[in-house]
Amino acid sequence: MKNKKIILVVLIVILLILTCTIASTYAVIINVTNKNGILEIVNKITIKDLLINDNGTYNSTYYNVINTLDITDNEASTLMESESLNEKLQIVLNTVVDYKINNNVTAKLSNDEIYNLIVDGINNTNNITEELKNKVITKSSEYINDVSDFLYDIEVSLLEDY
Amino acid sequence: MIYLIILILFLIIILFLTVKNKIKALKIISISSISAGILTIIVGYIFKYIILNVTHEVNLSIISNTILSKFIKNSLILISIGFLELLSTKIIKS
Repeated sequence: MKNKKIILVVLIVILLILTCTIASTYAVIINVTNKNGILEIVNKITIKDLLINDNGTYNSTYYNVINTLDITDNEASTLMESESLNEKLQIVLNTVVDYKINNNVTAKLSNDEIYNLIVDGINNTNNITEELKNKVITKSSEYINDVSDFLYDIEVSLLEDY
Repeated sequence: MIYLIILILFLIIILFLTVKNKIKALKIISISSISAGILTIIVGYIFKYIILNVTHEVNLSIISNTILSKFIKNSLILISIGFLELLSTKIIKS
């Protein structure tokens, strides 16, 4: 009888620990996947964050971009630090999240819309040379399909899937 | 979420009914809470690892660290509740 009681208590404790952990995890998932949670995360992300590894080195996407645009590291730095471009990035990221996680097909921006955001971002960037401006605008027009594919085809798995 | 909370309350009630010594029951609950807090941090790091490996084309550290910080916050709440319960058993005993 005593042994049975001990087994029951152990079982209850295990269930309690698991249930509390699941509840805590679920609370995080709810927080992160609601509109405010997504906004909170997306509004923190900058172009530089996406292109730099944790050890401070640039990732392969950075080098692909500068090779495609045929720009120097300094010019890339100007683009990465552009407040206007970062604001446009956040607009795009919100649509990517909406499209991929909420399965909202209407959220996906068209190539023209993405292109217009880039042009607007570039035109509102301070301390940018006309040459760099023209390079980005010209190349964006050429590669807009690739940009759109890159943004909307990145594999994003919902946390709940795990 | 509400069902999980109901289940937790149900398990606590069953534990209090099963264990004769109520102070011992409270101690068990406090240890469970602290353990759940520690497990939550582990789950947080697992999620961080999963998110970082979603794609290698861009760095998702900002996203994974923000989510990890939320797990740590919840974990600290659970651990604090556990220690408060443990403290209250000491107070009741004295």
